[in-house]
Amino acid sequence: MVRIIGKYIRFNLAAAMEYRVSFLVQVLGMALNNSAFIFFWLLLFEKVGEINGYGFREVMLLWSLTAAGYGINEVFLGNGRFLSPIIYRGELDVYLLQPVPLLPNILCSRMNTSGWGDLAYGIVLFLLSQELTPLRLLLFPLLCLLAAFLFSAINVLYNSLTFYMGNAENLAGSVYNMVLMFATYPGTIFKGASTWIMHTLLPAALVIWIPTELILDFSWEKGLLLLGADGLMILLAILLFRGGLKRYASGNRMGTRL
Amino acid sequence: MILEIEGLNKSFRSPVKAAGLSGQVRSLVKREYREIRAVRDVSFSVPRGEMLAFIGPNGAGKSTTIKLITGILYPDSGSISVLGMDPHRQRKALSLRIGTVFGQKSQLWYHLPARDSFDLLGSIYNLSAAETARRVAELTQVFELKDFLDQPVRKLSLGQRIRCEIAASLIHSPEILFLDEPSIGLDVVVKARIRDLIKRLNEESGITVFLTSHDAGDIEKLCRRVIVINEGTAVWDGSVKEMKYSLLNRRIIDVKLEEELNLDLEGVTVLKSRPYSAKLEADLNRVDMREVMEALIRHNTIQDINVSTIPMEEVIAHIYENRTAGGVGTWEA
Amino acid sequence: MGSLRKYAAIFRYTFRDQLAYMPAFITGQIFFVVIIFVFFSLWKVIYGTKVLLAGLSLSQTLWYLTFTETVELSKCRIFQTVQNEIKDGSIAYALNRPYSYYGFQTARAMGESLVKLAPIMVLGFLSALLFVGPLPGYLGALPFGLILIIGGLLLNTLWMLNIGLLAFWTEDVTPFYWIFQKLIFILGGMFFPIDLFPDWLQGTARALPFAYSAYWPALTMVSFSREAFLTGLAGQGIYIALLTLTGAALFRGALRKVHVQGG
Repeated sequence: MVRIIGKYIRFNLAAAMEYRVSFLVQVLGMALNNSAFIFFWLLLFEKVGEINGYGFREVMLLWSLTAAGYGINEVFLGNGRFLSPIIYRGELDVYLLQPVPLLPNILCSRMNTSGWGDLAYGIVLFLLSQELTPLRLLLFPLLCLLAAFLFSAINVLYNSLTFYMGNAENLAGSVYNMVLMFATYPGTIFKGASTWIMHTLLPAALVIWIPTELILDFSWEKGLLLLGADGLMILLAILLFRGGLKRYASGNRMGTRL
Repeated sequence: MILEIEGLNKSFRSPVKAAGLSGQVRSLVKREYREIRAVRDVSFSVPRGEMLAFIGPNGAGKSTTIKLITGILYPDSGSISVLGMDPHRQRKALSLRIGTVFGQKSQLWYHLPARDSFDLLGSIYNLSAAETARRVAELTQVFELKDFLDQPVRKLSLGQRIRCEIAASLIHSPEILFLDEPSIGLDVVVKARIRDLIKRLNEESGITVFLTSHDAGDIEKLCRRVIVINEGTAVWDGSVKEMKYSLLNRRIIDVKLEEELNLDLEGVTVLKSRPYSAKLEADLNRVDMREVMEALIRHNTIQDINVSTIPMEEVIAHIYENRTAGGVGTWEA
Repeated sequence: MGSLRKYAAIFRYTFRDQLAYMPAFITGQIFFVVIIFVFFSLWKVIYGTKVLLAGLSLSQTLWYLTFTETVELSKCRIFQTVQNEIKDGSIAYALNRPYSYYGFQTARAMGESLVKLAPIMVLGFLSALLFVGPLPGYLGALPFGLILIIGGLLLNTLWMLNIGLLAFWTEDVTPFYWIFQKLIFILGGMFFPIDLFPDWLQGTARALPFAYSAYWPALTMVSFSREAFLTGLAGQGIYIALLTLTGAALFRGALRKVHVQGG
């Protein structure tokens, strides 16, 4: 499987390079796009100093983790977002006919090029905005990877509903975007029921907030709890997808692999 | 037997769209479903090395059956054994030994040369780099891909692409090849070419071929055996030749005469009658060929006569049009 | 007069065509409510015990952001249509029809934007009402605010049309759109009222065209004054005129290019 994933990455890059200018424009554009938020927070913190324990630097850490984690997911697990159309258009057939673990095969076979911009932006922002200690340099990549897996689990979980209740593309897309948005704001601004939702249904807390706390102030206890919760989320996604396969109805649409 | 299917059933549920606003509101609370029985109690078996045609109108259940056999879909009931395996339990093990071409679903990467897709598929099917290279060289020769193997797939013609597509499905030397409408959209010359390739493949490597097609030529030129499926049920399973005789046991008779046709015989329909020539159709279930000939000769002065069977296209068209006809043997036109 | 009727018809048909997408569109706007919720959570903490920040209350700030988002979300991404028509050459057919391409696209985009505007206004009203209660003076400010909001939409449409026309010269105009959007986002005060900017930036930001797409319409709604409304209106008028002139110049340049290439 590792060999195949390596090939997917190489081929996707090669396909993107067929349109080199568009590739560069997308990558740079995405990085630029994200940078605008730096100004927003700069202006805001100049006015108010601190927001429930978060200062400018902490918010930049939220952004680094989110951008890099999201970027990894978009680049290396880029097909998760498209699982719904793959299911309802019957395009799962191609993957089902291959002797490779199904979910990794589907997820890795697509690369969304603008994700490179997010990934690069996240890493650069982390290196420039944070106080670097050996522990943080070790934790950051690990937690980005974990965030990417969780983003992917959210994609698989909500898109798998397409097996059960018809096209869930819009729902899953909204969930993905909402988690992404929540993730880039300090978790401490939310109160009451909404924080419960953000630990479960829209788990921005698991994806970004808790990892941010870990980088700022590491504790084994919190780290293991996070791992457990993430594992549960991923397991749930896999089970829902597996269960859905039994209901898969295929279909006959024209199409090529892009 | 390389493939054995017994009492296969598969239904799909599709939500019924209620009309009007009140209906839409109601369907939010409780959805109603219509059940479509796509495959009903289908049984057949295929020996190794056979070329089998699997035909039927759109929506008859052909693709569903293939998808059940290849492990894409889960059956509701019935048993399937392919190469001794249960397709949906041993999907991965089975996929190493079968190849599939779905005319409408590509295995090739659109922006990359076919060679890259072959290379990737080699890895997917656990071939070493050397094995893949050897296999690609072989297939390049058989399917004559050399001239366009290194061009991005999006730049290939449909005929070139389908050749690459079939080659791609053979990279791991499968024992059974499933071809779902491989000739769709191809011109006559390319069709003939693809047919030759498949035929050669079968003769040389002994691969079992399972073919669905609407194209009469594909079926007649390639397969000896045909299974006709209609409304989820197999209505015919036998040789292609026999199907022509028993499903449509008719002859077309063209005669040239010295006067106008004079013939009135039960079981013979006059399709066209002009002075000096006529076209007749004889239904051999109702009338004997000898009687037709005798009557013709007795009442007419015949200059020339030509008796032909009904062309395969018409046989298929006929089957498709009579969608509700019963099982084998009860076929009445 | 006849030519005005023409654009009115184009506008009307786009309007009706867009109505068909309404149900899907409304469910898609859940995201809008969530954004308002996030703003509310953030600003509630920022205000803490303070009543006013730069003259605005928490309630006013949230309503302000609801209005800037309203203009943003009602936008029709016309630059993509224009870019596609230039790239696939179908713009050539539009050129010898009896209307101005520029006028046609503006009418079309405005038709689409106004259809989107109505439900977003309602949804924004309900969400802001839910989180911070009614906005004092809403009804009084509404007629003036609406004029500026529609003016802001027109301004955005013209920006995007001009960006789309750049496709005659460059491969992909999307990055220009990104830059434009981010300028509205920051300098236009879409995410952050200009009144809260550092002093050295406030004057410049208020005068730049971006503020007339977001800041002035929203400010007129939440803190109505005749001066604010008239400033907004005058600024919009000036920038609409400037953008139209720029568009016409771009178009003439493009036509010359098409003729030279025999396009």
